[in-house]
Amino acid sequence: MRKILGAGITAGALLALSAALPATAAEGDATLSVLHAVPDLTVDVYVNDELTIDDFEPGTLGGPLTLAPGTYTVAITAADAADASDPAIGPVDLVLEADGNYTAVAHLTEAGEPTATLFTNDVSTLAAGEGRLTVRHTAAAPAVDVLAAETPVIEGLTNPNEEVLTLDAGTVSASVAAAGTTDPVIGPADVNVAEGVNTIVYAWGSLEDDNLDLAIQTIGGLHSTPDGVPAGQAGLVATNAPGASGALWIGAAVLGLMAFAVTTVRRSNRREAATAERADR
Amino acid sequence: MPRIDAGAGNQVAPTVPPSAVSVAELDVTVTVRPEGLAPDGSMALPEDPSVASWYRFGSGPASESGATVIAAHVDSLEYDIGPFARLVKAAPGTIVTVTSVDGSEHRYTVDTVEIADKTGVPWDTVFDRSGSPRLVLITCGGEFDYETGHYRSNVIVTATPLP
Repeated sequence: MRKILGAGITAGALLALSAALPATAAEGDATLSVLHAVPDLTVDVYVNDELTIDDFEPGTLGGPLTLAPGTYTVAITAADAADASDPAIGPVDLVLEADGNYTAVAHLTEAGEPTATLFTNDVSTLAAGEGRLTVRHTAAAPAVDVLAAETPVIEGLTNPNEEVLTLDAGTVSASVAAAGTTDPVIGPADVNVAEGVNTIVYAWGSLEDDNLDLAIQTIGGLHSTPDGVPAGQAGLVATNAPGASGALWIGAAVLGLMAFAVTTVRRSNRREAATAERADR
Repeated sequence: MPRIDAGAGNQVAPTVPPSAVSVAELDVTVTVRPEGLAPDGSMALPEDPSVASWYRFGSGPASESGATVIAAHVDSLEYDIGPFARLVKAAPGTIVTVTSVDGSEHRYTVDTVEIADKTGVPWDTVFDRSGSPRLVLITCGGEFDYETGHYRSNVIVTATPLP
């Protein structure tokens, strides 16, 4: 792989290029996942009148499908339906844009009626060390707060809406409580907000039926990459070292001194830079 | 269409960090420390060349996919030449052993040793988190630029897991 690179292409340019390329099979294809979040109902999913998911169980995530951009008609029927003509949910038109990443969720409205919502997943690149946490309210329940370690991080989230947070990667103890309260109706559950990953948490089910639960979807590959590995500072094993062929101790000593001088200068420059930075604050 | 249970277990598993790397044939033994980025956006490395850095946001030895990247300084003004200076001599087939913090041992066999000009290294490929599991050991080598105080090349050893 390294061999086919032009010498003039820098690593930075390569990174920019790879970020611009779609993560899907064909250029411009959209990505669609489907989450079934209606309790106690096994269904069939038809896309453009074609049976795409047979006997889809609640709490299951299907996909991801890569689809050409366009409008797709989705109908969700009872599992024993012969075709899409008598849907339990829909038919709904899903507009998928080029390179878009989507999750279609079959779920309950706040009032407990089956419905479907198309969410757009944020697949933009994250800085090193960061993870993305997306929380979606798809449950038959009023507004909720999301607590991380008992502190509200999302307040007043209503069905069928979402909130997206960028966090330092790591595990959070997450729970869901009625808005303005801290008594969990879901959780607490440990959620690994992994680095370079969009971790999408769905609150689903029904408060009234006492079957609220979490569903989780993860979309990886959103990480950024170190732009180099500067792994030497003294030139002691350099192939162009003055003593490299003659193996003279004097050569090595001179080389060491030269390198020391160079590094000393660099260090003092760094100190000046650090001082300047402090002065700016 | 693939389907998975989207329950609370459907999360990215935490990565088990490596704690040591050894290449018996080259008398290389280093301890390994998890590191992220240096302030300049490069991979952070301990000053001491006998302590290697594992890129803690990438794959680990037990990960199902991707490159476990472990790097160490080749030399240092304070500590002299480090063990990774000998990596450039690794022949294909050389055995590399990585120990994880949970005590598990992962053995690899060296595939390639490359001396790559730093301006042309595709770092997103080196730090790739997809594809078959592999080990990538990195240090510096080749010519030294006495003006900038940096080596002009990286020595990149790629190894694949042994069953």
